[in-house]
Amino acid sequence: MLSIKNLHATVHGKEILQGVDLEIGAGEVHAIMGPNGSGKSTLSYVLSGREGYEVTEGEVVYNGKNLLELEVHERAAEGIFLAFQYPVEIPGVSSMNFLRTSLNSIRRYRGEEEISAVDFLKLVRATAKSLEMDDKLLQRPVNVGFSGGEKKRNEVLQMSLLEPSLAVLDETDSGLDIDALKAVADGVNALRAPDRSSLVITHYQRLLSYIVPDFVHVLADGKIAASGDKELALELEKNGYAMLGLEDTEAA
Amino acid sequence: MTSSVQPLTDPVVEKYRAQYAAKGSELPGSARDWVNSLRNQALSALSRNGLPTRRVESWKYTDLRNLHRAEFAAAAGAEVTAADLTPYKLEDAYVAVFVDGQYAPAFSDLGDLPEGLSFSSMADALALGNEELLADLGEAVDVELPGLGALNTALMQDGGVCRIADNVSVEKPIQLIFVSTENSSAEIHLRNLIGAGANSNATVMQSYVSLGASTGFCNVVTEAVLEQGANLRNVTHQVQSGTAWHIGLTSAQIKRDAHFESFVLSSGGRLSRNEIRVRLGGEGADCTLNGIALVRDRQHCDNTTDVDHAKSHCHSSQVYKNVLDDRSHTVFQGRVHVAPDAQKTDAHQMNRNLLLSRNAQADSKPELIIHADDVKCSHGATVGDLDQEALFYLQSRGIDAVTARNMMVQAFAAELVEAMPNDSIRSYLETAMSSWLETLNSVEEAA
Ligand SMILES: Nc1ncnc2c1ncn2[C@@H]1O[C@H](COP(=O)(O)OP(=O)(O)OP(=O)(O)O)[C@@H](O)[C@H]1O
Ligand SMILES: [Mg+2]
Repeated sequence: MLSIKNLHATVHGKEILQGVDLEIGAGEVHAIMGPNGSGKSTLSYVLSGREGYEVTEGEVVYNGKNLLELEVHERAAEGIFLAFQYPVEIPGVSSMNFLRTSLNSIRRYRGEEEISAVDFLKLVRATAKSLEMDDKLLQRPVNVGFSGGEKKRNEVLQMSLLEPSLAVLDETDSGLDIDALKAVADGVNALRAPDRSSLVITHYQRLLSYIVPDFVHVLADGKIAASGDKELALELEKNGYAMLGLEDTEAA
Repeated sequence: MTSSVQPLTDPVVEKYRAQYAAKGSELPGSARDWVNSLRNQALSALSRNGLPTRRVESWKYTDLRNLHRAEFAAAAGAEVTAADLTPYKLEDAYVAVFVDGQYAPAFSDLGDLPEGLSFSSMADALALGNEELLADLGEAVDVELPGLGALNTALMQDGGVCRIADNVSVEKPIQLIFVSTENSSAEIHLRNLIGAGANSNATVMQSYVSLGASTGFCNVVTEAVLEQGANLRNVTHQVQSGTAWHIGLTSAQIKRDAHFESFVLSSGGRLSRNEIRVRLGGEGADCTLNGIALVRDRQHCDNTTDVDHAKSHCHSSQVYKNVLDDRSHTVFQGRVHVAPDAQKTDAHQMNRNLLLSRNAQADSKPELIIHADDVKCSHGATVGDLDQEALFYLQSRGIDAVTARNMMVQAFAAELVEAMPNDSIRSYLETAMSSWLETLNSVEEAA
């Protein structure tokens, strides 16, 4: 599904990713852990095509396509979804208009019919309900005045509506209370399917006991420093990054 | 104030004097002494004061020299069909259409005016000497002020005269559509007069449109007199062709407890100015002045306001938003004057500018002159570009760059349109904004 080879990327002239190799197969859940500033969010931005994140070397092939050639919105329409570490507030843009424009843009790209206003409303209500999210929030502009946890739930709501084939979740668990964490994990698990994969960026083992990963990787200094199965996350939780010979900046 | 122009030798003023001398007898109302005297007084004010130059404070950012150099022809009078006008007509409204500055009853839709609402074209009212309907003519416009008000009064040709009787609420909006025909290069002096009776309620919309390219010049003055407790909303949409000239002055007298609301959406004209002068002349009077300018290429759009808080307990609120692309230029000058005994004044003013191009320029100049001590006044101005993070967020959800940019521009300006209580005007303005967005440069070109 996703094949990253020797990926180097710079931000403002500074090399952040220094040769990332990662293979994600269909239906797999991969977790990425790693110290602050190691490049986890940078990797997620490079995958989604954010301006200013320049790939200097390497390749990313997604479902047989050269991902790096696609525009941001095309990547989304091809099934890549990024749940932001810091979701953006957009005053003046109504949540419902945003969600509907998003869903219909993706449907149009795929040659599918647009969703009707009535069906859309039903779909959003049902999805919000399944995530235990108050749909009154959606009467506000996008993320405006949402609490940290509400913003994260809103990311998962969008993911559930768009049904991506590759979901990249960047610290979607941070700042969540236990109930919210469970709701978020349920949302991710509900999407699990043989043709869908996810890349879960997290600092905490806690999330991984709800979303059980097939593989766990440690990103350090812009490279994958270690890979293993879910046991690796447990060991890291116990011993910190020092066990990999890395400086432990996490007060885990 | 001493004027730096030499009035009697200004060739432009001379041109207009000559024009009046030659053609004055053909202007409507020339058989009426009081009309002639109104025109003559205005002409002598024009001769004394000259035309505004950038040395005059209120015209500091708008240079009329190119306008004065341009040549204008008599109205072209190209063929117009009813279908040409359909996109500009409000749904569910009383509509008066003016083609190249002349009332065109055939295109108008004034069939069954409700009791208490009178309408006449200005030309007819002047020609008939309808002193009752024109009682307020010249009441709200000071021909001595720098601007084109004196010129307008001297040469006014046509326009709409609306009178709403005391205690009458007119449910449907009254729309005045001023059409420039294709290739028109006419100079047109339009004069509108709105008399809002005590405790009356009405909405007037003025649309200035070009059918095809036009290089004409539209000099329009709208006078409004609001009697005690009247509510008047005046919505202006100026979408003339990008080669046309538009100088507008709206002058409103607001009496006790009356409420005046103005909204101006401008996207047309190579040079346009919407000047609004409001006198809050009775206790408890208030005004809301909002506007949006959408400009591109080398368009220049000037919104200048002057609110005179003459009495206590009056409110004024102004929000002007500009969206600028390419090498366009906007001006916002907001002057609020609070008289010594205008205590408990509440006056707020905000100007926000969204630059879609590095080469665009937004000038903003608030001016608060406060002679009372118990007042609440504020002003502010912002200039910014699109939030890149928000754009990325939208795009990461599958929305293409142009749609994302348009959503952000809409978000910037839409609140002023959304606040419009009349459904047909709101949807008209929304359509107008979307049409403008659709013709914007692609994102790559803009970058
Ligand atoms: N716009 C930018 N300009 C300069 N440096 C940047 C920029 N964005 C990221 N960086 C740097 O890139 C490095 C990697 O940042 P990134 O956000 O990818 O880390 P992360 O692994 O997600 O960290 P965290 O666990 O704290 O979220 C950091 O040193 C950061 O300061
Ligand atoms: Mg991060």
